[in-house]
Amino acid sequence: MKSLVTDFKNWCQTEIPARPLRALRNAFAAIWLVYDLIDLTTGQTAKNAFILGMNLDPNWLKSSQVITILCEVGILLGWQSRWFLLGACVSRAWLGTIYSLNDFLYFTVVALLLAQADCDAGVEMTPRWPRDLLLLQTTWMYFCSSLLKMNPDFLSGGDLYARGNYVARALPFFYPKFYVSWLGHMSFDSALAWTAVAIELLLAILLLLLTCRFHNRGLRNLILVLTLAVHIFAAYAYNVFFFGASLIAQVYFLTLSRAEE
Amino acid sequence: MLAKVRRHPLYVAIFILLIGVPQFHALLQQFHFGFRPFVQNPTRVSYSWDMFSNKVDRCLVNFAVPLSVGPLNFSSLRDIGLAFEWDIIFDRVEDYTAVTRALCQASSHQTNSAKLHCFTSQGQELEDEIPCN
Repeated sequence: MKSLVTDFKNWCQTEIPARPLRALRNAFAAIWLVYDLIDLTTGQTAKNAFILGMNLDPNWLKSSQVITILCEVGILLGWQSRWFLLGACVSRAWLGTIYSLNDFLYFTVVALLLAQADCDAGVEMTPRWPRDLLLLQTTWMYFCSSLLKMNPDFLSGGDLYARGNYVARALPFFYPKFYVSWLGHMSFDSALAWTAVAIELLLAILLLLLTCRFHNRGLRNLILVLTLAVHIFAAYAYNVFFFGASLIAQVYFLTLSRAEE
Repeated sequence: MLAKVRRHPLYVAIFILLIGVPQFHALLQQFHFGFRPFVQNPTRVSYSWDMFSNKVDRCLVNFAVPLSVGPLNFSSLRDIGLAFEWDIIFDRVEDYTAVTRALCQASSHQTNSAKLHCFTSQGQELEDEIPCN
């Protein structure tokens, strides 16, 4: 027990290079700043809330979005960014209490974790524990996402059949004829579903290994290839862009930080 | 330069509990609400990271005559939001039908009609026409 406490204290005091975490913080802020600017200027969440019949005051929504945008700009300026991250976390959580979108919930958790890292401009070393918690958070998200997809409807391919066929007809992107034709077969959608579950579970296991046991270039490259594959396909086939971009940046810079240790 | 801020281990321990317990509880909630791997579907629970794991249907909704509802003018549900990322979607065919009827009611074109082209989670493709009057 005493040795566990000593190990924990040592872990809390250990420091690592701040540069990769600073890059992650900037990438995270930049990706969601683009999201929020498009959302605010074109009123997307406001329109969604109106059509969904949600009781969301437009002025309240705009205030929340403007505060988040100002905080994201503050984060990118790189001065006292921890406070701007906390501000962004609170304003997004505020919106998340009414509009419980997974994107918003993800943002609050990652912003709160990044706020624990001391990586403003000029800082060379930062505590290790926020980086490790971010890695474990990513592991947990992939694990839960994979576990909850292990259900009859998703594995039958029905869920991806509905999503894929809808997107292929609704979006102005290029989808090859053979792909649209395959989407109509549940066996193809089911194969995609099993592949998604397997990749997410594998990512969770590999990230846990990288965090707790060992790290090498091969393991990092495998994690990056799997992350890119799953999120680029999800963006193209199912219209999920910002969440995927944010997770790609997260995995890239966190594994880079582990490699640079 | 070394880190300027060093947290006390007790702060770190409390922070881990604050961020970890709600997420673990959210996953337990899924089991409490009936989720069983390979047997029973999950439901929507905040912070359980249930992306893509809930049963959904999707429909394309097109109106014969463009609608004008509140500040919005559109001839298709997908015209309302940006197709990219913010496309307006619902989880059930019944939700699409209800929203289509509500939009018809709110519109001044009472002689209008809407065509629904749906893809269900049972792997079916359905078409339906809803009169607005």
